Amino acid sequence: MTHASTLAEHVDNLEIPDELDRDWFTSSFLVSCGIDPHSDVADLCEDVLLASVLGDDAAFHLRPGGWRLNVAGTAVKALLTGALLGAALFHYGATDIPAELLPAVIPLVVDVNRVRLSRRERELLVPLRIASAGLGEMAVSPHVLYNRLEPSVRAELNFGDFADFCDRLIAAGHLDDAGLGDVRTRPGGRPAWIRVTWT
Amino acid sequence: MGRRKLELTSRKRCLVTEDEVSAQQASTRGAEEADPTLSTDLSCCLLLIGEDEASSGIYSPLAYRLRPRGDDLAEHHVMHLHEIHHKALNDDTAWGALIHVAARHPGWTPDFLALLVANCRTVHESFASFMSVSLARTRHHDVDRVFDRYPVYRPLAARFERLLRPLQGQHRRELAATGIARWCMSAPVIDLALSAYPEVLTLSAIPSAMRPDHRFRLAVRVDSGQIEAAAAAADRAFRKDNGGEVDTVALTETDAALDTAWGVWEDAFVAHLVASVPRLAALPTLPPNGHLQSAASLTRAAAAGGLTVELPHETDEAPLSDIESVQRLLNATTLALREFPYRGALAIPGGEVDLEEVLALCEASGRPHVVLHGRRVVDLARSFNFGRGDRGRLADLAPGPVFAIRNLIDHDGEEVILHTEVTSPDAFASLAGSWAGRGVAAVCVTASCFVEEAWQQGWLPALRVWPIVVLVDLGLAPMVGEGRLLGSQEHVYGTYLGLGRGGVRALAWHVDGHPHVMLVLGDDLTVQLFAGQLEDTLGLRLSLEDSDWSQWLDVLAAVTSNVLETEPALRYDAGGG
Repeated sequence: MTHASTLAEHVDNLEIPDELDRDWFTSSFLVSCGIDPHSDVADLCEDVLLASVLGDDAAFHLRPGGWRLNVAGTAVKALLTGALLGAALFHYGATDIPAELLPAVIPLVVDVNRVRLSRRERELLVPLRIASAGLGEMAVSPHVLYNRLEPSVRAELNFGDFADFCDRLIAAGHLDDAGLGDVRTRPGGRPAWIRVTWT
Repeated sequence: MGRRKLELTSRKRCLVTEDEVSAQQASTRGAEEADPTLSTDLSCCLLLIGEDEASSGIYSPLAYRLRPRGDDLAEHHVMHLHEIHHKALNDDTAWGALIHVAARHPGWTPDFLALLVANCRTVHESFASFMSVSLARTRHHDVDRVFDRYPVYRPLAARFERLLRPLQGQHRRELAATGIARWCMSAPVIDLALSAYPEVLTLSAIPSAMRPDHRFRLAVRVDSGQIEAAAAAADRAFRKDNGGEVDTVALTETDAALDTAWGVWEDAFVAHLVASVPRLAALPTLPPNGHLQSAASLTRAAAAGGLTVELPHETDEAPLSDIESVQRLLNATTLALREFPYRGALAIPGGEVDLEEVLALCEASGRPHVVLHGRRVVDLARSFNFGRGDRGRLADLAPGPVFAIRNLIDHDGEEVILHTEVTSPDAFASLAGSWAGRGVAAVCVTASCFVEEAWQQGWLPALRVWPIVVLVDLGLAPMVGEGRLLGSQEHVYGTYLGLGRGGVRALAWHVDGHPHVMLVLGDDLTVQLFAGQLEDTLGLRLSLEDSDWSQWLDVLAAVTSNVLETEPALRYDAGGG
């Protein structure tokens, strides 16, 4: 199987309008990633994107003409990537955490820059490891990882859900069980890959 | 013409013909003084907002506010049904009960309420969008075009449409959608709140497995085979219990009977679906109404601390009659006639205002008329933005009633509704004498005001010099009986009135032998709900055909135009309780 690009390269190559709207997001972005715009995955992507940007601002989400986003270039790419990855992990089965909170958790466990996209195969290959937490291969308690999240995220994320999320990754072989309830993350050189297909 | 009863929710139904729509649901009392639907911060509300001048609806846990625009009846029905389903879903489920508590409990911040609403917004809006259009389709075959005015809601409704496409028949899909939406809202979250009480629960203390939108995102991923199998199991359960197909229940049954029958299908569908999908079976779920005990414990805990928190349902509540359940629905309905209330001012003739000048204003209108409005003080106070002095005066006048002529005047560039008080029967007699021969005259007393009999002995003989119109603002059931507004034996003649104002309709009726007529104003669905109440209440005593209203037409035209020009909203909650 060939993978045309990383997700980051794919997003970099997109012509992103100054003002994002639902039509562009579904018809251009999602379709370019191989996602049917009339699918549950597309709904998930949209929900995660809007939650990332708008939080609880329903009036914006439901504004008459549909939502529109004015976000600077690099930030919008991070939003698009986060929305797609959040939806992908949820779709894959990482359903312990609400989908809208996954973008905030993903940097703890995913090497975002190495996520690979295959439009032809309609799939993502997601490398799991602690990419930026600076924890190396230390055995850590899920509490330590949880406390690395932003306070605003922790205010909405149940710790038990997060611990279950870690357990799920251990069970799937993507994190290592370090015993005594701790987890050990994979080194960057040998991540565990998750394959997510849009079916 | 065939009559069809369709379900609104598992516990409520809608009676639909080409000419009438009836729906019902449980409700709570509106509290306009703290009405979140008037706030600029709508984070605690669920919304239906369309493009341009489309009709709109805003649901808060305290009430829902409708704003019909234009004359598209399909759009008006979708608007009203959309908000009814927000209310139904909240009133009958655990998450909804927690929302009701959060909205009413002193000291619980709006932030927590907003988080609770945010975590069920997707399932709520998807359900309300799907159900409102599905039910409206019975009367309006082209109702899908309404989504052109509400494009944001089309993909939300599509989530249920996609999920339930394998099911045969609109009615099965509605039952299934209701069951799934209720399941999403039915985790034992009240128990968490009770454990934390008197501390306020935090969102991080609520596992995702209990959050409605999270559960919805898991539920919509079941495959078509699982949906079909669950429907087949529900069909079997229904046949076993009722001896027929779910589409063939006699729709002339009472609501309670229909609810029970349809509930069998809905419960069996959800039970089979959840049991067949491990990821759903793993989520904690209460049976229907399984939260009521915990909710009652929570309100008792609040009461022990001296706080009163009222919820829509009680644990020992008897099944509601059709009339009661419709009235609960109406209690929560506010039909907005303008964005914000007018400023109000009270004036006493001979003091702050010259009665002759007031009557000259009335006479100067296109069709000269004067309408004396009788209102309960609390109703008047919530309807207009009175200054501090006038509010003090109203407090002194409580419980009322207050009788006043209303005129829209310009006061330093601001539109103000001037209430020229008529403070005694003698003052009214003088007013009537001054107006004689100058145009149409009428008294408009709200029903909630009328049923408070203390004032009647002194006032009514004098007021009957003018035709009296009782404006209906409460349920009809308490009006039945000897000496009451709807009488006990008399024949009642009713008629629908065209108002020439899109979005608002009228139904008037006259109880044979009574000196007054009664009038209800509302959007089409509200008027149909009242018509249904009349039919249920009066039976063969009611005739909606073949009555002569010619002597009342000018009076009703004067009253309706005066009410619609001056009231900020039409409500049916007995004048604010």
